[in-house]
Amino acid sequence: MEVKRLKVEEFQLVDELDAKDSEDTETSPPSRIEIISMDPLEMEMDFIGYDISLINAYRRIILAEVATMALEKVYMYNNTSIVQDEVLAHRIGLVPLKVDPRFFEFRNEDETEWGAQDSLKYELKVRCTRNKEAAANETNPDVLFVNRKVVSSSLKWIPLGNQPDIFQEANMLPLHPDILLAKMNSGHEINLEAYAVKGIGSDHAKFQPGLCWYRMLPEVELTREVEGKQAELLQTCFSPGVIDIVTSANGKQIAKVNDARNDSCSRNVFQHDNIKDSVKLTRKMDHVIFYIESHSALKSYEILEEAVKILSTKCDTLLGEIEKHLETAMDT
Amino acid sequence: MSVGADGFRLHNVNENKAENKLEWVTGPSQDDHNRTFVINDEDHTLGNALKHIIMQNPAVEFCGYTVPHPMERKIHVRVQTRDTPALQVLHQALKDFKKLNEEVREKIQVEIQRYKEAHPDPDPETT
Repeated sequence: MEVKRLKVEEFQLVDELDAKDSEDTETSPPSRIEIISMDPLEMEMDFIGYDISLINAYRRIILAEVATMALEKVYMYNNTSIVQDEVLAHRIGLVPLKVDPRFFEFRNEDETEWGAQDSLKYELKVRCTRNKEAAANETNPDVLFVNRKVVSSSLKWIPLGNQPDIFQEANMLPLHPDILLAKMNSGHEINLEAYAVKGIGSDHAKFQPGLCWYRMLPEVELTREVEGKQAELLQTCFSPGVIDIVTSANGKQIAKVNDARNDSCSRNVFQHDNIKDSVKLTRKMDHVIFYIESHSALKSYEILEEAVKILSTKCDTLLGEIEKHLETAMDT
Repeated sequence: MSVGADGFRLHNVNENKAENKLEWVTGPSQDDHNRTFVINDEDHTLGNALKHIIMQNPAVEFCGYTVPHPMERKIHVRVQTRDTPALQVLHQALKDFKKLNEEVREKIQVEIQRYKEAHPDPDPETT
């Protein structure tokens, strides 16, 4: 096998880079977190000066380990609609609930009863009939039949145990009242009971509290002056707002980087031979833009707070385990 | 996924409670300074971040992690050190990780508060 040997000059280069790195860490400003926009449904924030591995841990925890409530078990008493039992049960399972999962426990392994502390009961009883008030020449099935559409608001919450003392019905319903579950024809009937439990995303995606992703801050650097027609062309190669055209001191129309944050990181500019040498596209490695979208009872920022808590719990569990080992090692 | 008494899938984060959370591999190339730790019921989420924290320690010569099999929920974390015992390094790394995470948690809370004060919600019902 051939071994590539570094030349002396290359070694020096590596040394210089190392020295530069250590300098950077000494003088680098402290890491910070900034919220760019936030509402209960979605948020955008910046993690500056943190390693990607930490950010990725948060993302993975949000997608796989932050718990929510979802309908898990369906007892089908009657279903004469054309939607098969298992398909209907699956659709019901995907309905997001308003219930705050932090009030509930995970259901135990050997549990056979539906307890008030870990489960929720819902009922769905609908029957489709012909609408006697519909006009004789009516063709729209939504008017022709009563209960043509079975939607999520037909799920009725049935309190278990002491739940009526703790919860209000308005907070236990599906998050959206208009999710279509099935369509029926005259004479069709659905009668079922469904139970919701607390669960996590790695078990089933219906338990995910929302979506989450991140990207590193894009950087666009102009390596030479770009003017006139070329500047206009350059502008069209990037997302709106990335490149500005300004008048320089000597009256020329030149391109200037305004805000690279909006850039979609397309590499369109490299299609044009006349300007492809004028830009350097990079990413700022220690500046992460982090997005969360909630589609559950938890608000976007609550999802993040939960994720951070879960990571701390992971550390605690392992620390406890190690301390146990250290103690036994000392005893012997 | 284990199955409950009524054929119900389980939703417990710590499914394998009987198993030890932390173990280590025995055999050759294992001693106090060179150890492969087995962390049960964890994956890349903890593995990659923990590896990064351990690497920050100047006493560490080498650190890496692997998921031995995608269907078994466990990770192997290899730590090789010069003088400090590997278990101590792991212990310190976990403490550092917890500290870093708690710092992030505080910063997030402060920042959420700041944002809420700067952008009062017109409809208090929704927050």
